[in-house]
Amino acid sequence: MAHLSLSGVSLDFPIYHSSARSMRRFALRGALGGKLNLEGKRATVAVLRNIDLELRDGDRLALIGPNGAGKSILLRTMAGVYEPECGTVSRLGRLTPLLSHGIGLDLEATGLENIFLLGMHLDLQPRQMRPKVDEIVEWTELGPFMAAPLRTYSAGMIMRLAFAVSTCAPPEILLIDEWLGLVDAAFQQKAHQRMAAFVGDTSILVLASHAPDLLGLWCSEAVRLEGGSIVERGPVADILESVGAAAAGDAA
Amino acid sequence: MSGKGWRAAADDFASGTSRTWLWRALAWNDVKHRYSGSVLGSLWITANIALLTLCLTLVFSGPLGASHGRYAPYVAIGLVLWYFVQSTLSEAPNAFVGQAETIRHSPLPLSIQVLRAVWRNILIFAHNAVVIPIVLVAFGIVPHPSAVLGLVGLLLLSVNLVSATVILGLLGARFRDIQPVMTSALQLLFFVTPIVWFPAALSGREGWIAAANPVFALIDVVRAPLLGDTPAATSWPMAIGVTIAGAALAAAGFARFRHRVAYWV
Repeated sequence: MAHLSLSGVSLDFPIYHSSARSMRRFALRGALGGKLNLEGKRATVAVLRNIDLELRDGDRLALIGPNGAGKSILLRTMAGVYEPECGTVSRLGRLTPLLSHGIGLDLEATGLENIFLLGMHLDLQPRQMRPKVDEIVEWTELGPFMAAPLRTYSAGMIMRLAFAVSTCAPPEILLIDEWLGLVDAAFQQKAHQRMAAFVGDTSILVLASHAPDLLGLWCSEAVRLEGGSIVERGPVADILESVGAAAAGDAA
Repeated sequence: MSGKGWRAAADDFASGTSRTWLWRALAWNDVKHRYSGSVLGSLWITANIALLTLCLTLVFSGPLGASHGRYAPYVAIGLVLWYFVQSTLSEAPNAFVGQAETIRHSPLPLSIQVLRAVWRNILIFAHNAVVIPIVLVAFGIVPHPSAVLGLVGLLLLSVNLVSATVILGLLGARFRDIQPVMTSALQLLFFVTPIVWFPAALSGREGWIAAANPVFALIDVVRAPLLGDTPAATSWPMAIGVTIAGAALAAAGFARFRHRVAYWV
């Protein structure tokens, strides 16, 4: 049984501008009697505020909100990239974060090698990947290019490969930041079918996207984020409607 | 420092080291593609070391008052070890920054990146190390049973490079000017460390230059046993001491700053 819960999670994001990264400034601050603290005085931005979420088997959650609302940061916090200073995150079950396309891609390596590299970055051992390779190659229709280095591929081909590997082993908890929409148009239909099977096999899905039809298709519930806080929660259709109404109100 | 930081750091290190399949494969992939497109590939480094050994022997064995048979193996082993130290340390500030994409989007343990960087250099070292048996055979040096101690020394050296990669990797993620600092520091280190010259060249009062240098100690405890020599009296204590101190410092730094790396890179 998979489980993902966040309670009272708040996260401040430090902002490092170029001067804070310089060692000379850092040394001068020490020499001039400033407080010698490796963290220095850092400017922070509050990116998540008091998030409470409890997800269980079968939950399909959409994250909705404008750019900068904290959707991506919330997903990364769920994944364990950021450890919140305040609150707790607990996970039970194999978690796959698809938060950026092609983590682990190496442009110098061949297509085939990249299948294994991508898999390894999803914590799939080469021996677990081997039985899946044929299916992946077939799906991508990139068979003749498998021995060529990735730098000879077009962006669309790379995306297809990354998509196929990312969706080859359904986890229990799946976190997706909108990048799967980037598969080229000819592949959209095929990608949707693959995605449906993939998502169907996972216990918990959290999806951040700006595409209402995508959210409506994969999710049942939604939270609306604004300024790092959950401002609304409910069935995905209702939330999308209220967001749409607000946008229409702004436009009027 | 909170117990939480230590526990999280220990978990990270344990789950990182246990994924041997991951960091070894990533390191292997790094080595494989770094030299793609060149004819000799990583053999260039080996060839470079061999050529440097030849030239240095012809030029310096006279002024240093050593026979070719004494100087050539000394300098060949010294250079192979130095190249290992130098390339690992110069890449270390980039250990986390170079993998920013992965670190920002995936919860894989950070220690993976450290082990990958060191293992990559161990692979290249293993490759360059073919120079050592060649030069030993060429000059008729039969390894003494105590040469096994050289392997212990090599293990200490590798552990220190892991610690150094953790520390420099953290610093390099936080301060972007560590990389240029390292380049000049390593050049200086090469000249003050007895690699192509003998520590005996130092007069009594200058002896501290070698004795206080942990890099010399770590090279000495590998090289001297292989040559059938005894390392300087200070070398083993220094090598063991710096291993413990370095590991402690790396562990403390990792526990304190590990969770910040995702923000820094």
